[in-house]
Amino acid sequence: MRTLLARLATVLLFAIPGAGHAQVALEYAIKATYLYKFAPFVEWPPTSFESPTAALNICIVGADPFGATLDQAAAGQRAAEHPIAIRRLASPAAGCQIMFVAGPADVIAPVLDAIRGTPVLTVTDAPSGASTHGIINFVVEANHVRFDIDDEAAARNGLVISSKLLRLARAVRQRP
Amino acid sequence: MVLAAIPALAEGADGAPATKTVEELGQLSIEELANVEITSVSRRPEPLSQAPAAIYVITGDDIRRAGAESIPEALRLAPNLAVARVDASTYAITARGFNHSTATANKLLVMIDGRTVYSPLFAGVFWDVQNTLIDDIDRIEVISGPGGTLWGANAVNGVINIVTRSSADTQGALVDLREGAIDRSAGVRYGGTLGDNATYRIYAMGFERGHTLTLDGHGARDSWDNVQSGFRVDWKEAADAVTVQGDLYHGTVEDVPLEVDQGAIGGGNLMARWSRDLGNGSALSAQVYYDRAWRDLSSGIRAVVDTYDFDAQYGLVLGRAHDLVVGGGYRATRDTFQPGPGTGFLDPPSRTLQLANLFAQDSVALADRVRLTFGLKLENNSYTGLEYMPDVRLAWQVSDTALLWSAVSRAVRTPSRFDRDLFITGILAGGSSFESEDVVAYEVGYRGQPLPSLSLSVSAFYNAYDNLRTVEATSPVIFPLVIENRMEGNGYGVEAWATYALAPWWRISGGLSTLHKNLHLESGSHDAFGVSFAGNDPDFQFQLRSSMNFGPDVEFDVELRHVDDLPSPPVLAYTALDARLGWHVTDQLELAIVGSDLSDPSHQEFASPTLPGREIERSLYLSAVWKS
Repeated sequence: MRTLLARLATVLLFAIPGAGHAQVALEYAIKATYLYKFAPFVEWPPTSFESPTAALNICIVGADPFGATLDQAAAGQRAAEHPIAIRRLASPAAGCQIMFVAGPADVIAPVLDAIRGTPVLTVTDAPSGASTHGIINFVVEANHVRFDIDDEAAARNGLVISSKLLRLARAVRQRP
Repeated sequence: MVLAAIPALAEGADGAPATKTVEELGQLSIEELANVEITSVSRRPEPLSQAPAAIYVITGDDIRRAGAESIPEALRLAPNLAVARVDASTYAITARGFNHSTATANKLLVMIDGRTVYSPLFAGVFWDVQNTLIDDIDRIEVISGPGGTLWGANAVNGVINIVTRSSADTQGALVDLREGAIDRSAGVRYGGTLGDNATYRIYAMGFERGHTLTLDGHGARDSWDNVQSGFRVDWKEAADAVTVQGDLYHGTVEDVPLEVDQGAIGGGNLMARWSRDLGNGSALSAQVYYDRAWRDLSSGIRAVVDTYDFDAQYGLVLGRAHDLVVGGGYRATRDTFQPGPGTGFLDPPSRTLQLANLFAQDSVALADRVRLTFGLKLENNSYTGLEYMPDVRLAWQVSDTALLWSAVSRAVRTPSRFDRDLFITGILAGGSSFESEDVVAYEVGYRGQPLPSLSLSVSAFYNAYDNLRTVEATSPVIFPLVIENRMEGNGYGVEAWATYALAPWWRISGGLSTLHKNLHLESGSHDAFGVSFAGNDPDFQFQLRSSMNFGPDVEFDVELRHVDDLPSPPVLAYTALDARLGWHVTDQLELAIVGSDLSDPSHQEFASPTLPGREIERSLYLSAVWKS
C-alpha cells in the first residue's frame, strides 16, 4: 500500500503546465512596495495635484523591472486621499509625482536632467558608486533592501521629505 | 522522568527561505520592509513566496505586538505549531502531533541561528534555557513537515529556526523593562561599530517567572529565574561576511515534581559563521560552534552536555535551470549523567555520540513556472549507522497570485541516550536494539492572494510512521521492560492561515490546524503503556488575531486562541484571550500593557503521565522599552 502511494505520488508530482512569466524576485517586490509607501512621507507643492482626490502617479521610465508585481502591490492603495496609479513611460512626461527610472547610468542621466527642478520624487536603483541617482536610490545591503536619500536634490525639485523617512535612510545628503 | 525521555533528532540544518507575498509586504510598515531578508541562508536571490513547503514566518514585529515575553510564547503565533504550557518553566511544543511534556516532542528540530538546541541526552528541547532578548529576534521560521528546509533537514514533523538580527540592525542603547504580577524581566543592550567594516552588540538580561497553580488552586513550587548575557560581532568586507556570537546563562528552578529545594541550570555557547558570496548567486559558507548545557536537580541528578559542531555548505547556480546546494557536517556530543537516589541511570554514565552528514539538493526549473527540488541527506550516527533522508518537492506558480506545491519526503528520528542506555534496576533494561523511528510524508499546499487584501496558505499532509518507540514487557515475566520500536501508523491533517486587511489601519489574521492519528502496536508487541503514550494531541486548534493602529503612535492587538481537548491524560479544551495596548510615547520610548489568558482566572493546557497538572493563571504586565 505504501509503495503504491509512493508511486502514485511520483506520477501526480509531474504535472507540467504551459509557459508563463519569469519568476519575480522578492527584492523587486520590496522595491515596488516601497515606491508607494514613500508617498506619505513626501510633501509635493500644492499645484502638483489637480484635486485633493486626484491620482498619485508612480511612473516607470525605461525597462520595467517590476512587472505585474508593482500593479499588485499598489492595487487599492492610497496616499492621503490620492489613489495610487501606475504608468509606464518610454520617456519622462508631466503628471508624475513619483518616477522610477530604470537602466544604466547613461540612460538614467538624461531622464533625471530633463525633470530636474520639477516636483517629482525620482527613484533609482543604481549601484551606489555611480554618480547618477534619483532623490531616493535603492541599495541592497547585507541581505536587505535599503535606500539612500539625496535631500539636496529633493530641495531642488521643490519637495519636502519628512524627517522620519530621512532617519530610516541608510545615508542622507542633507539639503543646504 | 523514567519513560518520559523522548529522543530528538541529531541533526542541525540551515535556515529555510523566508517567504512573503506581495500582500504581506504591503502590510508591513516602512521600517519593517527594511528588515525583510531577501535571500535565504544560501544567499541566493529568493523567489517571491515560492518555497514548496508549509512555512510560517513569525516576524520580530509580530512578536512585539503580541507582547510575547519568551520564545515559547512567541511560538504560539504559528498556527502550524501546538504550544502548550505545562508549568512555569516547561512547554510542550510540536508540529503535526506527538506532543509530550517532559521535553519537547522529539519529532521537531529547533535551531537558534543554525545552532541545534535539543539535548541528545534528555531527548528534546529545554525551553527554559532557550532565551534571547525579545528585541534581538529578527524572525522565527516555522516549517511543518519533514525536510523542513530545502536542504534535507531530518526533522520528522517540523523545523523551528530562530534567527536573531545582525548587530548592524541593533545599534545604540536599549533598555527593556517588564513588570507584572507573576513575571518580571529587565534587559539592556548596547550596539556599536568596530572600525569601518564591523558592528557589535552586547546584552544582559534577567527574568523571574512566577509559579503556576496546582489543580486545586494552590501555588505550585515551580517558579524560576534566569540571567543571561551575550554578544554578537558582524564583520563584512567585499564578498566575505563573518559573524561571531555567544551567550552565557544561569538560572535556578524549583524542582518539579519532587518539590524540595532548588535546582540550577546553566550553560553557554560560542559560534562562528563565515560566508563568501562568489557571484552569480553562488556562495560558500561554514559554521562552527560549541555549546554546553548543564542541569543540577535537587533530586541529585546532574546532567551535562557538551556539543561540538562543524557545518559547511556550497551553493551553485547554473544558469536559470539549476540551483544546487551541497554540504556536510560533523557533530560530537559528549554527555555525563549522574543519577539521583531512586532514579534511573545511564550505562555508560558518560558517552560521546558522533554524527556526520552529507547532503545535496538541486532545484530545477522544469518550465518557466514550475520548479522541482530534490535532495538527499545521508547521516551516520553512533547508534544506528547510516540513515538516508530523501526529499522531492514540486512548486507550480499557477498565476502571479497563486502557488501550488507538493512534496514527498522521508525523515528519521535517531535514538538518544535515554532510548538506548537507560536502566532502572529491576524495572527497565535499556533498549539495545532500539532503531530509528521513521516517517514518509506526503504533502500538498496552496499559497496565494485570492483577493487583493487577502493572503491565504493551505496545506494538507499524510504521514506514514514506522518503528515508533514502545516499552516492551519481556514475557513471561513483565519486568524488566525493554525499549523497542513496535508501534506504527499514520497521521493526517490540514493547516491553514490567512491575513486580511480590513482597512489600512486594521488587519485580521487567523489560522487553524487539524490532526487525526491512527497508531497501533505491531503484532507481537507487549507495549506496557499503549498508543496514547506517544503523544497527547488535540484534534484541532485555531487562532484569530486583530491588529489595529490608531494613528501613528497607538497599537492595539487582540488574539483569541482555542485548543481542543487533549485525549490522554485528558485536558479540557480551552479558549484564551490575549491583548496588548502599545503606545509610542516618543520616537525612543514605547510603553505597553499586556494581558494574557484574560478570559479565565486559570486553565490547564497540558497533562502528562509523569508530571502533576498545573494551571496557568490570567496575568497582566506593563512594559517600557527605550531605544537611543
